[in-house]
Amino acid sequence: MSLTNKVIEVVSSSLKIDKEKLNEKSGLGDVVKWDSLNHAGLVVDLENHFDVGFGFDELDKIITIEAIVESLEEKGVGA
Amino acid sequence: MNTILDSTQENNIKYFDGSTDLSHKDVLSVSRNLTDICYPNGNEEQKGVCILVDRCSSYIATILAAWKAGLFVVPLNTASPIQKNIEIINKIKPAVVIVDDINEASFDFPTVTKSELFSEQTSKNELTNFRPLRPSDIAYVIFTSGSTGEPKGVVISCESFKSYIDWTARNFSEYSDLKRLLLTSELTFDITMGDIAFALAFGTDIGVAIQNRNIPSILALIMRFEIDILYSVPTTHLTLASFSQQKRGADLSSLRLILSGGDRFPWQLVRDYKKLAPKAAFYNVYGPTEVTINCFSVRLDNRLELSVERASVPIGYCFDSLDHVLLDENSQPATKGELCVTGPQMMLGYHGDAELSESVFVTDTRIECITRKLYRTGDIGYYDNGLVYLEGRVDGLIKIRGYRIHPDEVSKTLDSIEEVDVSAVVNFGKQSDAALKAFIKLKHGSGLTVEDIEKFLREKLPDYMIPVQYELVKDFPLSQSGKIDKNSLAKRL
Repeated sequence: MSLTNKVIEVVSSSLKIDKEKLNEKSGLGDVVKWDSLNHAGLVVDLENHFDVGFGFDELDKIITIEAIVESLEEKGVGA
Repeated sequence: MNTILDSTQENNIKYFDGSTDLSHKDVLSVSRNLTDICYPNGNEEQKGVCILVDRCSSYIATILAAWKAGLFVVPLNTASPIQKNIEIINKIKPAVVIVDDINEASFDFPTVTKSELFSEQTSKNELTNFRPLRPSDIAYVIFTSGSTGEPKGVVISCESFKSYIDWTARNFSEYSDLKRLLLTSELTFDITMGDIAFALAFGTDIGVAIQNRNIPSILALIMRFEIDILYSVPTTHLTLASFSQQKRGADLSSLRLILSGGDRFPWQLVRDYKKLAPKAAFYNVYGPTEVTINCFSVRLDNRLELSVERASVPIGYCFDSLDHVLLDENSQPATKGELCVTGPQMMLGYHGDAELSESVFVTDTRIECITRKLYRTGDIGYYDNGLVYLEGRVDGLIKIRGYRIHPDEVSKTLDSIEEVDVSAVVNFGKQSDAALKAFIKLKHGSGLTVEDIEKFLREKLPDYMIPVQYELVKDFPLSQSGKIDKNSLAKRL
């Protein structure tokens, strides 16, 4: 499974959104339920699932699936 | 004279957002440019500016510059549907609309871009005497959701705003050494004016969180800029506290003063902040936009013993500059009833709606011979040990993410869809997690899907008004009077 699909799985289960409604361009504010209340919980779920820590300087960037994948790749997380 | 800015710390305020830093010099230059545009022939009748730019430090500097130039301000949100903004602009008839990009929308009024306004002194004059801002002039107009569903513009005078600044200076004098506050609420929400009042009282620098819905990024800003004052709505506080407890390395210890306003919250939030930000004082502040930001406040971090007896947090004590009374169903003073307030912070009225303005005031029967008006907040309050607590509303208004909204406004938008026969929108959840559910009956033969309906609503309404649940129904339960029985719908949630 590609990393993008893995991230979509985590986003889907964390935010309770159908996987079909998500693609790599989806992000905070674009999808119902991906809002300010749920986004913070998603960041924690992503850190736990992939066993990584996002840097404080990137918290304003990881707001789309594409950006999350990019950050995980930089941290050495593979498909 | 300038009622708002005279004898404040305005000259010392700096504005930042992580990419653009501004100071008093920039404010002065923008004031001159605004004067050239809005008052080309010298002092005239007061005019207004509509600010329709994305969140940034320039947004706040523009508000201060407009006041310096003797103008009143109407803050708008670029994230709101453009139709809603155009409606407001047409009502206000501003001297100028300030936008990010001139090509984004066209208005029937002069328009200038933010970059033109902030460009190095386009004005030829070296003006230092601007149009005066008199006590009776307008400071700002903030649009909130009305009980009829139409947005209503709350008009606040300079005198009222000045009274709020003076209260801030008296009440928070022990925090006068604090350096930086961070704006996290919507800029169209009067918490922003509360933050500006704090900065004017003490010369505090104003930071703007550009991504105010991205709570992790707010945490990062607090740490990066060592923010010491945070005034937000409870949903922001609750999410920030919860995230900070889970995120390794999170540090909120720079906070010294936390204000929560706009809605209720659980006592647990105060306990959480006591651990996360041990040096911070935590205040609950309360007030309708109509009474200039806030009219009640109470410090809670040193009153945790109250949580043993009461699950809800108090709104506390009325400002020393204002007066309040609880009125029962017969409009008589009581120990429980509708909270009514009077004093110098009363709004001038609703923009262009004399009838509505009249309807929210009631005559104060406690004094004879003269007619003094009380503003009816619509909130039901009661006393306990001298503190005021709230318990529900007298009308159907609810709060979502700090915004007052009426579910009927959403239902009215749904009903405007050609294929919708009738709809009803009800609120579920409590306090900070309130949300909407829409029940929709489609016209016979319609193939409209929930996705189509939601897409339509997103084009018409801001996202805090979008229901999180939808149900297509064949029929509605009706009350005895033949209206849709919303209580019965609410029970189905």
